[in-house]
Amino acid sequence: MNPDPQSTPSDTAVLRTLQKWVRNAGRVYVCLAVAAIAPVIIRFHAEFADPRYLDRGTMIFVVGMIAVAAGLFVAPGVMMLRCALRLRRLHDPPSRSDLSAFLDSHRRMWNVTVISLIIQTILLLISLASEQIIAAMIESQY
Amino acid sequence: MEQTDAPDENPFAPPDANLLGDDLAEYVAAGAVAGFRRSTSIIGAAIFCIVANSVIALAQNLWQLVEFASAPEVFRAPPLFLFTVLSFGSTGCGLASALSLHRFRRMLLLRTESTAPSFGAGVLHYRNFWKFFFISIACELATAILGGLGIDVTAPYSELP
Repeated sequence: MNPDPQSTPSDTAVLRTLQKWVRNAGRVYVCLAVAAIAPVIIRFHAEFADPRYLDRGTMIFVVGMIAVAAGLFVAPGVMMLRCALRLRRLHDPPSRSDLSAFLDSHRRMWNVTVISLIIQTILLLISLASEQIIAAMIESQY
Repeated sequence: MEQTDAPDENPFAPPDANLLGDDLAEYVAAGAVAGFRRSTSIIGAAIFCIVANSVIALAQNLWQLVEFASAPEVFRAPPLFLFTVLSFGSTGCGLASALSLHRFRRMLLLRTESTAPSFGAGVLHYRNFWKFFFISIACELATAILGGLGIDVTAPYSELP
């Protein structure tokens, strides 16, 4: 039995239902980058208001933190926003070039997101391990 | 048997010039499914990463919960209660998003171009994935903002009011 074309949403319409959530996820990722970077900058701005106290190690740490946050959160966020934009451009039925552009951007987004997730998992493991090591050290001291 | 990876196919081979209406829509849907199928490997890697991430975070949360369990009254402290809700919300939604993504990937592997027009249900799984993923990272963002505001939600219970 053929479905009623009036009541069945087209494939493009179904694909476009993704747009809102992909865009929201992209925005949250960009906000996460800001939330990760802002406290570092505020703290170091307060502690090292005098540039004479800014030694090389501190500068490397601050720049490193900003780079990690940008790499971890900004890159996938921007790719998600681009993917959502491509989804918005899909007409019904979509042209081959629009669909091709969306699928390319979708693939690139996943590549970047997976790299970000791998780094996040490694950092989480390091943090978990360091917590246990510190706890064991404190326990052995007392 | 489930296919292990997407075949190397060209989803954008030129269509027949006589395609019109429903036939053209079917052609486009087949192209979309074939295009998505090229991403199945990376989506599989993403599922693994999301599950690993959520399981590690869950272990960390449970570990802290066990530490706090020695003093049940500390759960009444708003920061810790908030932390518990946010951290378990984040890991729970992370696992739910991985499950939805797995369902979407399985649909991609099982579907062929001939059944492409019915891939709407699979895309709905994909939309659910994005919903759960959004909630999960929104919880992480809330935790990061609380930390940024100076509310140390993971402070030891002895330091809590």
